[in-house]
Amino acid sequence: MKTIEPGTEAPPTILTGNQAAAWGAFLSRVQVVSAYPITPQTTVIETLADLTARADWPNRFVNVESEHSAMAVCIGASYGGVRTFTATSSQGLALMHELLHWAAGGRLPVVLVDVNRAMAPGWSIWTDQQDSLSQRDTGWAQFYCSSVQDILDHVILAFRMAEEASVPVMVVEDAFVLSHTAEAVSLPAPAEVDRFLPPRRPAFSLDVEKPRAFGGLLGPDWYQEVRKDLHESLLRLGDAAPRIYGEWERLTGRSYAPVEAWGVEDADVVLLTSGAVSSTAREVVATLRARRKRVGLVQVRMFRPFPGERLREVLRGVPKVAVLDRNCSFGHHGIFHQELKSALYSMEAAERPRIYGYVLGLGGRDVGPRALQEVVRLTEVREAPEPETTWIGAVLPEGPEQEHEEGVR
Amino acid sequence: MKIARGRVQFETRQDLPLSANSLGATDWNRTGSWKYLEPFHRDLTPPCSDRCLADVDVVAMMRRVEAGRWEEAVRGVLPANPFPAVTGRLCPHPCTAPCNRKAHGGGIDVRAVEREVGDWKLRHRVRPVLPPEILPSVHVVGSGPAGLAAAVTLRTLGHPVVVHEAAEEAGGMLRWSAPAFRLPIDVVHAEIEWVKDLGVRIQTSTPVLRDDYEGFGPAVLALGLGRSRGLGIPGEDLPGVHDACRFLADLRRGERPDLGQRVAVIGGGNTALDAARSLLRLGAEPVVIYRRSEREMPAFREAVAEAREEGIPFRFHEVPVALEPAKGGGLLLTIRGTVPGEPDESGRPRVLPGPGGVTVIEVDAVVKALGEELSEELLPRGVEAKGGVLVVDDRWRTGRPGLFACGEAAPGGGRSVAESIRDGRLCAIALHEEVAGAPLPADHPLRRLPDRDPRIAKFKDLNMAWFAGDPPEAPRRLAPALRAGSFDPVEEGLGTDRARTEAARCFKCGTCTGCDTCLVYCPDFAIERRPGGGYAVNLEYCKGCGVCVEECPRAAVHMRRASS
Repeated sequence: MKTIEPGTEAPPTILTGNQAAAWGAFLSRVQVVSAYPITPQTTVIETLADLTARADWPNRFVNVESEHSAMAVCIGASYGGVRTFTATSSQGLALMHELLHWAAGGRLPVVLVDVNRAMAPGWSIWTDQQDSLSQRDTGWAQFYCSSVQDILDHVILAFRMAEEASVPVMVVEDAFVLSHTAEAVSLPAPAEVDRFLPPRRPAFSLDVEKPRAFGGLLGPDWYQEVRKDLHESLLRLGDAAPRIYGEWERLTGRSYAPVEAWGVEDADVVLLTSGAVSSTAREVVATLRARRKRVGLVQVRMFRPFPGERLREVLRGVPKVAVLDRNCSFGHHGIFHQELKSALYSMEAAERPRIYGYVLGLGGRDVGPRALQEVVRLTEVREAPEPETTWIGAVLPEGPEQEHEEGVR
Repeated sequence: MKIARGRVQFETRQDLPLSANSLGATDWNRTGSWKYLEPFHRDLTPPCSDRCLADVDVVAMMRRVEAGRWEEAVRGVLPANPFPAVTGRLCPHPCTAPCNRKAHGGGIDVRAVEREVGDWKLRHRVRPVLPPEILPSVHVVGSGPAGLAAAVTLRTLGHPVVVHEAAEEAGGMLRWSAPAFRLPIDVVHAEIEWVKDLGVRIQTSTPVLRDDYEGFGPAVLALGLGRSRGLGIPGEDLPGVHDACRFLADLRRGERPDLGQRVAVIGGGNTALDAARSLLRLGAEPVVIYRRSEREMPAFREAVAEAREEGIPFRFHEVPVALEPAKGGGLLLTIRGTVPGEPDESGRPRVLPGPGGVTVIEVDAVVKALGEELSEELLPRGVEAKGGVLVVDDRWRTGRPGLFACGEAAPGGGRSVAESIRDGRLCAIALHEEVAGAPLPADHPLRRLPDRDPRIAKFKDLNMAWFAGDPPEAPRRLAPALRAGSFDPVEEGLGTDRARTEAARCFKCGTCTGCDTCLVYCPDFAIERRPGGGYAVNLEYCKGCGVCVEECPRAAVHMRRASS
């Protein structure tokens, strides 16, 4: 196979989300990739294996027997000071859980693409956000993408942010809706990416001349200090994100923000979305506004660090916010719903919107314009958010109580 | 960061490292208290070293060769085996039978590596450290492998040594029996020169008579068996009936005896095969006649296989019963079939007459290779023989005070050169201890093997994650079709480079090579290098996880119940 010389070969312009993720890692000149295949992530690492095999810089693609080992390899390589990438989904991400904590606590700028897939049982390969949001408290930054272009750009942005803040970053895309859907993509020139993302300069790394052990026992005197530093580093990353997005925009012309808003200023109802649903919501909002309905949209792109301050600014004075959650923290709310409520709690009561929670689209159930219009309608007609959480599209009506035979239901 | 009262202190947030890391074991959490098992380093016995006929520590030799430390390799081998260039060519190498490498790419060719060690010794004239000759002088009667090994051992222990040899040149069977295609004569000459160079005096053409022993102090009797066994059949004395030993000795003298075209070689030992294969090389057509089956042949399996490669026919379960002159000048050999009977005292089936009739074959010559027996008339007074074997006690002492015996005529003698060399060494040590009045220290290099657990390291004990399955470095061998007419060695040497590659393939089963794997994998920094080699486990921190045991490539780390 021939070596790809950066800047000399016209890259493909139609890519699936997974191919875009792989190209993002390749253009970032990733040095160690370790991954274990799982539907619907598989084509990310297939594409990346092919690309890195042709790379003209030293790199290793390490095959392993589980996601736990994949993340362990990434951690080891990242301690070694090199740029490290993996991708996974659902059960695979859950299996990594212990080591996700390790990567964050170890302050290692690993980048992971998670293809959002519902958790089993029942077995499902289709999209929802339960897998990535279950890793909310591991200390990883999380970005939710809404298009194939988003994915490609965000893998590169993730390396930049991760290495600047010494924290790991997760880039999230929806199973099939994004991962296996091809869209026209503008590929940045390798030289441009190199300018934006210079070679990794690790804050610390393994040195055989000065052997040391990482992650050893840390007593009560200092443990809390180190955790506080992780927390504050994530907060600083939130502050730095607009600047880094700005640099990317100057380079590529594409602008992003941790929170993106449309038509919020005069809105009666604002939809709050994340992931691929956001692009459907944009269409719905445009359609409804053409009918003179005052509907707005807020897309939360950065989930960790949580952009609370920006959300308070954007939603100040908005009467009603309908939060769409493709996930559920069982026994409480959808997760974006509860996060938004906690973020807006500090607002003056007069300026604070009423917040309506909607859970929908679990296990890959399609979320189309009709479902979103239903959410808008329900929010308009209800004076108060009661119940706090409404399940959209659950089709079975209530019936009389009955005894269930074991295993039938 | 500063350290105050043994504790790390940080002044500011920026002073704090990003992530917890440590330069050694943590001081205050002695994880060693968690364990109920603890690891310890102890070498197991490598299967090859265990089986070596000459007590060579094969694995130690492989480590030195792998590292290219040739002189050290020679010096390591010499105490057990002063003649690695000889055994590196003649040894039946039972060490390779249990080689664990067989299951992973192919067994190690130990003999080929040993041969390079031996040739290096001769090329570079490596001499053992020689103490001054301050101990009583010792006479050695016989200069075969056992006598020479005894002489060298005694010399390295500080005895002046005189070797007496009846023949015109020293070397015994190495000089007069081994054919050139197995052991070139210049190797023998070089070894004899090397022995002389150590200060051992060798007197050739000097038969030792009964009375001569009266003038000896302590002495070693390392006799060969002087007399060939007869066929015991009519016609045995006819012209055209030859003795294999004499035939091989004539060849070794540089003659090319012409016995005729069709030659029957009678016998199944190494001498019979050496004779038959030599005849083939002289242009004759030998046939080997043996009274039992191929399995019962005393010859080495390798020699039988090579003879078969060369196309030499075998007639098994047949025994000669008569010889008479043939009309055209040859011999008519009458042979009869045999059947196996009950096992005899050697465990082999007795040979009984078969049911069929007799066969007569016409040959030009017959070569007798039926083994040899002791000529008792030359034995010194006080030395007894029983069943054709010298009587010695478990310390190699004959009935004559001060006279020790080893070699072909002693118990266990005549099986292989390697065993003769070992017996010569052990006999010399026994003599030395008696003369010195004290045993050799347990760690003396002439003692057997290093202190190890007697358990043999098995393939399942080893960690194959550390070893590639690369194939052996096989020595080049002369094509069978080219062997008739040529006394060139059948097997070529590996050369030093390929020998190093082969030695590197060796697992070094059961033995610590100082590879640091245990140290590197220990999650608690609890394994430390010991000054002077080896490792120590810091039990204050070792929590008994067993990672070192699991990861050790060669099963040199083990678990036991924790001591505290």
